[in-house]
Amino acid sequence: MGLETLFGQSYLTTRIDAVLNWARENSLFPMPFGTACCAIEFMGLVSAAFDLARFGAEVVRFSPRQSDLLMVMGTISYKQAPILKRIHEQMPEPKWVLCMGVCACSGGFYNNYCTVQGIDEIIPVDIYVAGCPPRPEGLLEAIMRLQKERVEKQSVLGSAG
Amino acid sequence: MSETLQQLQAQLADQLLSFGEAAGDEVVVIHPAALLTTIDFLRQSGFEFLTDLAGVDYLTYPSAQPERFAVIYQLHDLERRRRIRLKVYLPASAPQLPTLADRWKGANWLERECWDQFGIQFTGHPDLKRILNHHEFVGHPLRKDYPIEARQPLTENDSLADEMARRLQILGLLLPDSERELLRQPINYSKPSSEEAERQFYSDLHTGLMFLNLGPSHPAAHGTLRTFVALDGETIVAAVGEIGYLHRGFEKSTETQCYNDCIPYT
Repeated sequence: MGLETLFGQSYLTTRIDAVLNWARENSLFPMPFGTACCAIEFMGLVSAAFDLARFGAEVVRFSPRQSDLLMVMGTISYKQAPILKRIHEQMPEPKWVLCMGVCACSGGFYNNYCTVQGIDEIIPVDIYVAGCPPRPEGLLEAIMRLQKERVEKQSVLGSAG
Repeated sequence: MSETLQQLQAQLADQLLSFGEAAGDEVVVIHPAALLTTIDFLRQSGFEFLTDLAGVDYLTYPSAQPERFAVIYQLHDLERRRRIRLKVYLPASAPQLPTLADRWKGANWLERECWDQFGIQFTGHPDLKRILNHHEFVGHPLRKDYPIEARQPLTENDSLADEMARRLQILGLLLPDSERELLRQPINYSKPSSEEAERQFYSDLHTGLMFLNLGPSHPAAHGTLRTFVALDGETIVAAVGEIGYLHRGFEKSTETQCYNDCIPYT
């Protein structure tokens, strides 16, 4: 049951999306799922030189229940896959997934028996960042695009768009 | 030939198949049946450290080899700074060797890896199970006849409950009856005056052990180590470590790539 039930198709309910999304967009809580070298680049992103705080996403939460942006950084093996899926399921809606680096996007070099060939085999992905590893600038752009293209279009009723 | 090797040759003449030297170390090829005797002799001669244990599959090797599989033991004499390499050939029909886990604790995980990747059996091993690949995996991926792209998704993670139960049993912590007995005792709400009285006072708070996974994705683990712990309040009473969450099959991948494809990843 959403606000539409209370107020109908009124002015208030159409504007509340904008207010909520403005807040969400500028206060993303990332959950870093760093398994390999890409996670090192993430440290650069949140530290002083690149300063993710400028875009309102610096409060890193190590509990999936307190975060809305899952950042998958590093190779995901089949042994790791059920854990990643479970962490994604533990995150409250609305949630977004950022997939960083070639390993997480497609398996990359590790086209073999134990590596998941892209995390979209297991969980939905909102944005992919190419590179091995991607530069922090690349990650910044990904987060800004995520804010503009996904978070801003979130509806209070749940589904995006 | 070093003195140790001369003694070894005198002792095991017919079990010693060949001597050689490779990469600056002496290499001794022995019969599988002579493994324990040789190892014990070398340990007594100062080679007290097992540096590594590795499997080899010669299925597609260019030159002919006596058998399909081999296991290589790398020993180190820390005091006199000597190294020696032992090589044992094993037939494809029954690749099997006695365990060294009772001689070196470190051999436990090395042998598990060799079993997991090459399917070499180590008889007498305390817990010969997979270490890098997941528990639902079938086959041995570093064998040359295992196709590199034969992926095996995992449906459910290993609970590690078996190993935890074993550890708690050793610590004498699996005593549900006595725990229940403790809970049945009458609770005295007066101020505790001694340690024993304090224990009694708080006995109703005794709720048994709590189990928790630290990792494999935990920032403090800085990587992918999983530690399954049993907690008594804030105290860790038992812990089981599990690795392999970042096993990316690099060895197998390098078999299919050329040198300059691999070197950026090393």
